[in-house]
Amino acid sequence: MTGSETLNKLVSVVRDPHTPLRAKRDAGGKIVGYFCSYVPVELIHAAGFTPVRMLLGPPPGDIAGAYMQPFCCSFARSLLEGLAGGTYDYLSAVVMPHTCDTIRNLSDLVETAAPGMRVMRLMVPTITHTPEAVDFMVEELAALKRGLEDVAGSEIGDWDLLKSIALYNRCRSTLAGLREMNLGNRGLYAAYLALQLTDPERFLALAASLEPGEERAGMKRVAVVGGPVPQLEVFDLLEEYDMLVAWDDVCTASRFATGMVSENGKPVRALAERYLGRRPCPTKLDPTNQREEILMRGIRASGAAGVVFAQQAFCEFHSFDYPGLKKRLDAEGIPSVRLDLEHPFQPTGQMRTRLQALSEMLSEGM
Amino acid sequence: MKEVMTAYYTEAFTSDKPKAWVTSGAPVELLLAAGVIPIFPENYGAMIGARHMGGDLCSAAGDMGFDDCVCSYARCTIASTERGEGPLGALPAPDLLLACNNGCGTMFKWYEVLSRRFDVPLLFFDTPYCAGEPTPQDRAYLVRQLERILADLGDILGQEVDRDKLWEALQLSSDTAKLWVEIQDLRRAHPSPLNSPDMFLHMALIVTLRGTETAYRYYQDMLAQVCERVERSEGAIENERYRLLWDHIPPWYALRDFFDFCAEQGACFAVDTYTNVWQGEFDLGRPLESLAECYQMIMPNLRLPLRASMYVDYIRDYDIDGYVIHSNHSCKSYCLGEYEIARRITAETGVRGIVLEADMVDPKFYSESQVKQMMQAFLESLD
Repeated sequence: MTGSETLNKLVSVVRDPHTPLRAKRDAGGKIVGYFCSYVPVELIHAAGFTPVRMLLGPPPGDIAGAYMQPFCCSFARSLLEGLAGGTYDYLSAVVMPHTCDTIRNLSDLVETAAPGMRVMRLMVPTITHTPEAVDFMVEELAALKRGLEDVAGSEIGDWDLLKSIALYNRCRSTLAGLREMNLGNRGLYAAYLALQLTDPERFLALAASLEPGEERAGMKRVAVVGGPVPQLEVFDLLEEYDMLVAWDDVCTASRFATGMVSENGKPVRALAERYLGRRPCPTKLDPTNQREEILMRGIRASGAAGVVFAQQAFCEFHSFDYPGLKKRLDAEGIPSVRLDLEHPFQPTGQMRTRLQALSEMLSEGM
Repeated sequence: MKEVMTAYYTEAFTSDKPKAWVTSGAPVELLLAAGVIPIFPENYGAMIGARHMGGDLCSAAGDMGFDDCVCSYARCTIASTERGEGPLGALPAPDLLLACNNGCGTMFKWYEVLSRRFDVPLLFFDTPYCAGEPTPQDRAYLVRQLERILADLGDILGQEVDRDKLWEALQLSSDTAKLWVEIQDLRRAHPSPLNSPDMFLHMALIVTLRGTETAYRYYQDMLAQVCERVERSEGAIENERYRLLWDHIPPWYALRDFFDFCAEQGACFAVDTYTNVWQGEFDLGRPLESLAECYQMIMPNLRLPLRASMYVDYIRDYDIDGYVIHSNHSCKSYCLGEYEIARRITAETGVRGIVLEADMVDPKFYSESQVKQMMQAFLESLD
């Protein structure tokens, strides 16, 4: 398989994860969905399931409208539409963590609107830096482990879990290496998303056959900051304006993939420590304003000259952080624009104008 | 009420004692035991709304980069701080902050902004979403956090928090909540002695001063007065014709206009979910555990089946004819699930209701004529 064929395969995994997953289910495979990058995929995998991130369902319609107000994000509404409407009929269960208020309450609505779906809750603490929070997370993971064992009908041994931890660590290392291969926005972010939508073994096989691309002259380096960005079209749009994503703080990309799980010691505690110790998202208490410092470090290290905020429309948590981050960027003389994402994604005239303006500003600085 | 709240705000503005800004669902008893004056920005947000200052201040917050999906209590008080505007100007600057997420996750995000703005420490109490009884890990996590907050509070103030004073504050808070519940229970009478807008005003003390003698005495007097009203069969409104349930925080800017309009049609809101949130009674035999449980198990932090069954109980216990749900643009935590709760209420009791779209402080989401038309049509349908 050539490099470009592999890229196409990764893109097709992102475009339609459902068909291969249904085929897998029909062949006897078991799949568990999960809602957020704070859910340890290793635990799901060790129980014998393919962990699949809940990223985009059908466009929100009548089902979502019957349960959720229009001021909830279309990301969540779309997933309820899909879960209740049969898009995710291949799942054995779904793991829903406590992240934002919308996803927290959505767990109850999924049980109501999709009564056949088994929902497993994971109370990820909002505080991540105290010993009691880590202990609480260990207990919550132990409860999730018992729930997964119940669905699987077999126990998860420490050895199984350590194998899954090592496997996902390899996947994360592989993703870090892909950033250096000039795959372009689409190639790189298709790879990030594909790891969350298919078996890790398949992801590694595909990644191994990728070939380095050529460096494109004249591209402007930008950082992207946001929540879930499951639409590849967003990254395509940036490329249309000659912007290469040099660094990101996005929960379907680097926040999912950065940081290894220790392969020594007790595996459940190692998972708790990695997931609470990873780069925080806005749903976690950030008393020392780590997010701002991480952004500035990321910009400096990657050589990004501008920032694109790509957040789900109606996301209150990101909206709370945005003014502070923007103010810091302004003070540092780093230009930025904000795109509010809806599903289905339609690049609006306003988005294009903003990106055009950013692109021109970055050209002046080159 | 006006006298008590004036005295409270006068002390908050003039005292040299340390001050903490605190969320309405946070364990304020810890602050009282530490000699800290608690100040509640949510209460101030309600005042801003009621004084019709919410539109301008929310718009000013928009200029600061906070868009409309951010809680309007947060938006208006952040802008009030920046501009020095509000019913009493800007609130006095805090020495520390205490937040809890039992009402919503918004609270800690809002308080992070405040913590950075004022450069003061933020103490935070994380209360996991509750399916009923707290799990063993919930209990351990909550109590360890309370111990940490008490220790941090001691470090910040340079003086350990006096546990005896804490037990005293818990006892007073518990006794005050008991009075508040008794007052709520009296609303079952026909006609109801209190309408929800009355409760929205009287709740100020259970929010801001629970755990103090002032609040306890206030509700003792109120209870006696309400008992007398019930004995005299004196209703909150003239000619009570419909008994309704109100769900959620009211649109403060339309408080009088909306509820007076309903009263003119003979509609009394005999019960509401919002003012019933403050109900915790503590077991002083195991004070911290009990404090933890009460603060975890408040209504917005309960899973939907539990919340829905509480609404159904209200409908039955208060002999309610219809319900009005405020779908509050500012508040996903309390609102998400309302449509399903409405269906469950109707399925289990046969009682119907309506959903009004608005916001608690920002008037741009409120259409007076549309809301009144809907209410009128709804009330007519109850005949």
